[in-house]
Amino acid sequence: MSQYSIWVLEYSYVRKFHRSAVVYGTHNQGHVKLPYCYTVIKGNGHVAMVDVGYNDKDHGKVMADTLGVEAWQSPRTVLAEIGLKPEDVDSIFISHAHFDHFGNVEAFPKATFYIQEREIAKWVWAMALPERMRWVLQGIDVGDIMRGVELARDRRLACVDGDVHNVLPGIDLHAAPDTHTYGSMWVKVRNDGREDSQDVWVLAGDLVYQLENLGDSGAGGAPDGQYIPIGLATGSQTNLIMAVDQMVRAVGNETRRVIPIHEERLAGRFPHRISRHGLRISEVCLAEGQASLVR
Amino acid sequence: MSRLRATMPTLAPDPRAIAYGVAAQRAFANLRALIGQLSGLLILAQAKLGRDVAGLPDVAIARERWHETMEALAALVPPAGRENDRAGLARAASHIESALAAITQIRRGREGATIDAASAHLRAAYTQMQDLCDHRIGLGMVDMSDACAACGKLFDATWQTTPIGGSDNA
Repeated sequence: MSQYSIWVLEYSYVRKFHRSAVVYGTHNQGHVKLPYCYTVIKGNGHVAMVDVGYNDKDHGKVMADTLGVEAWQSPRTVLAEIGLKPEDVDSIFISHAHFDHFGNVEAFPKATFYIQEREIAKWVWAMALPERMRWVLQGIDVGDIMRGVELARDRRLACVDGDVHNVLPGIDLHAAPDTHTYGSMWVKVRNDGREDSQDVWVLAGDLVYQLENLGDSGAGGAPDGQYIPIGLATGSQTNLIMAVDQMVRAVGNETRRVIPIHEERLAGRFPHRISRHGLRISEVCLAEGQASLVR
Repeated sequence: MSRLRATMPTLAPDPRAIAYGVAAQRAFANLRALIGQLSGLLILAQAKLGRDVAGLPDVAIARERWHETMEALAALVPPAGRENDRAGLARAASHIESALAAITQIRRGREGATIDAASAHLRAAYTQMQDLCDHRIGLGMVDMSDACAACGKLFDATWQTTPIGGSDNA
């Protein structure tokens, strides 16, 4: 019996994103659409999310404009598509501190946020580096870090150190240090609630952008190609490969159960509909008794 | 022209303006990094209750960087129309100095008030710097100039043609 429903909600997108930034080494191979999404996990009396997107004002908007992001909609508008409000969300797992994942915490006034302590500690270290090394800071909005101070003051920011088992019943956090960022993490949902679950979903954050990173040619079964890392690693590509293998093994080699939120081809993999704002709602799985919200 | 322009220096022909842009960027980037660094320390101090951050090497590094920034500010010679920048940056630096002083007072078990004080100063510094943002000369609170996929509007041609000192509010 499935305990949680999972939806991937698109809140904006980049129409043409260099493919080489998504799949390592694919230089001069054109562009792909890059959806920007967050994930909702609902069940067991909880509404949880993986990441919160960015706020399309001030400096979040500068970053988004620089990357060519368009069609942004607020969490209130996006969550309404599945009958939720930001105030309903009680737990948020931040996969990493880049602006498009950690940039809108103020929209969720009642949530407790979970982030790897290493993610904060290493950004602190990186910000102390000389200006000539500023490359390592890309994707970070100082304003987001400041808002984290407020969350911590309100006891709504939990800095976790490594893996966390049952952060919510049947939901585990897994650290992936020195990969996409210094303290990235991925989320495992054991949807039957069992320790030896046969119904695992992995929410990959930015450790996987697209199917190629999983060695998945589109069949969604066991990897039928080699893992190719994403194009951006503040840590190392080797660590990314290792983290991907951990995720694939966690889902019993069924790559369709590893969810890459920046993958437009999720539309062909899970039931979905397009909102009146032109944004996709993908329904990954449904808890017992939960009616479909996309059919 | 929007204030929110890509983070690239203008190529105005006046050498004095170019020198100013480079010098101002250095000071601005240092102050921006200090706000982020000290904010991160405050998160860690609160998330791990009782952590004594005052003795961390990060604090000494921040103080050293603050002194470097003050030297850069003192050497800043703004061209006509940008005279207020240096005073604004100095005000931001002063708030950061106060935040640093508060952080050195954080002690295990009685960190609340000092963290609040440090946080307030960092917010004030951030607000001050927001008011000084001018992306035509590289003064921005975010820097995406080296981003992996800065393919959107980064090369908007207008950044090259708007002179320093002109209105940024039109």
